Amino acid sequence: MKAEDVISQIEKLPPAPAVLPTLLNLLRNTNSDTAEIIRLIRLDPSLTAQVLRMGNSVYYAMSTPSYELEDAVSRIGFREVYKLVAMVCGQQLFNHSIQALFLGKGELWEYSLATGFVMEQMATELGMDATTAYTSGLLHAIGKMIITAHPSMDYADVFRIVEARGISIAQAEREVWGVTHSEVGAALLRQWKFREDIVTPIEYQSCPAQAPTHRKLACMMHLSIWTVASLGLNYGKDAWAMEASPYAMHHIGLPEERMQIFMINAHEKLGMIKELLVRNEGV
Amino acid sequence: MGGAPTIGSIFAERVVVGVGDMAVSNNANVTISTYALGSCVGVVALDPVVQVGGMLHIMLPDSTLTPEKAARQPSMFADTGMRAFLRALYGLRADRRRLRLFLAGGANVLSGSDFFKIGERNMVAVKAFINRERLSIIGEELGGLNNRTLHFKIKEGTVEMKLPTGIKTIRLV
Repeated sequence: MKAEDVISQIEKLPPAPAVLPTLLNLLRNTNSDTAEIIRLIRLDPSLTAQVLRMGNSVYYAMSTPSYELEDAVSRIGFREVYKLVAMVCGQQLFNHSIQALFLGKGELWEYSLATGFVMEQMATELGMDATTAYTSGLLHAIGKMIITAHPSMDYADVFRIVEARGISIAQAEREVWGVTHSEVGAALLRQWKFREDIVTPIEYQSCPAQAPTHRKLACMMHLSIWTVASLGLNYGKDAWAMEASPYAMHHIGLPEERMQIFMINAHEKLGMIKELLVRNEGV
Repeated sequence: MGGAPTIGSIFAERVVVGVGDMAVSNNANVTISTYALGSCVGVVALDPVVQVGGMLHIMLPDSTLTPEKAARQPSMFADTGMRAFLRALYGLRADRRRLRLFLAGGANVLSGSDFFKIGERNMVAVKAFINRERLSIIGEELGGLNNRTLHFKIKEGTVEMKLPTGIKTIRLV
């Protein structure tokens, strides 16, 4: 089965986070007008309200509450506002329980967010675009969600052969369906007009050495997923059934110790964010 | 008044141990929990005679990675964490010879260089410490492909271990 076929057979796809690709393009363009950016966010009033609500949390340590997007942008900067928008979109997409994967409510969301943080940290360390890396990390597991909505694709078949033969989930998906959740997720994000520097690392998250372009980002994604797993955030069944690529470590060129420091930093940042999420529960 | 229930027995306390953290107690009504042990290793200890118990959730094998963090949060690392954990247990009159330990966690990827097998390195570091101290491990659920959540009831001396697919109970006494 092809990734595009999987998507076409889903009766109800999740709503596209339409604002993200456009916002990201505006962010990249140094001539972008702040008013244009704010207008774009305002197109979705519920998104605007949630961004302001999160922006007013202790995490951003504002001394007085902000009630206007202009105010939020001037106080915390557009990049942070973008991250808030992405976080809100990610929460809308991932904050559900997924029984087929043995995932409780909020678990896929927490995992996705943590992967975004590690990607962001790694990109900063390597002098790359941290916002793109963060977005890619945040959306990397979307294919799993799509597959569980498919009428005939059953993860029980995948788990069965993972356990019987000790192979990775990615390999088992390929054997059972001829396609992986990474490929399905990438195909959907392409339909949603996300750029290749976000989509390709998602498509090659389990085999970064094979990425035809954006290989460094694919390696970062691979290592971020492992880092987040090491924090115990890869919930669900057989979540450790993955092959770790030594190529990714060599290609990135960061020492092992730095990866462990990323792990500690991500853990600390998540602690702060969890506080934010608890306060905004129900958003 | 013989037979009157104590406050502690009515309101059983629950303590949650986060990643790189620990808790010890001499209140038998306490349940100590830790969630989602992946490559991290959880150490549960019980002295059944004095009903002192505790739980440690270590994240990384070696504190030399960042001595400043280890000084602030010793439980994050196997070496400093185990030392601090035992000191806290002994402080509540637990006896080394009576301590019964249970280990869980240490999940690992299927393949990759040693670096990626951080669960295995955590296990090795914890066990090396335990062997040096000549402590007694009465059970372990280590490695594998799944995260584990632990709930330790001191009074009953049981650990309820939750996996994505079910629950297993381990008796420490």
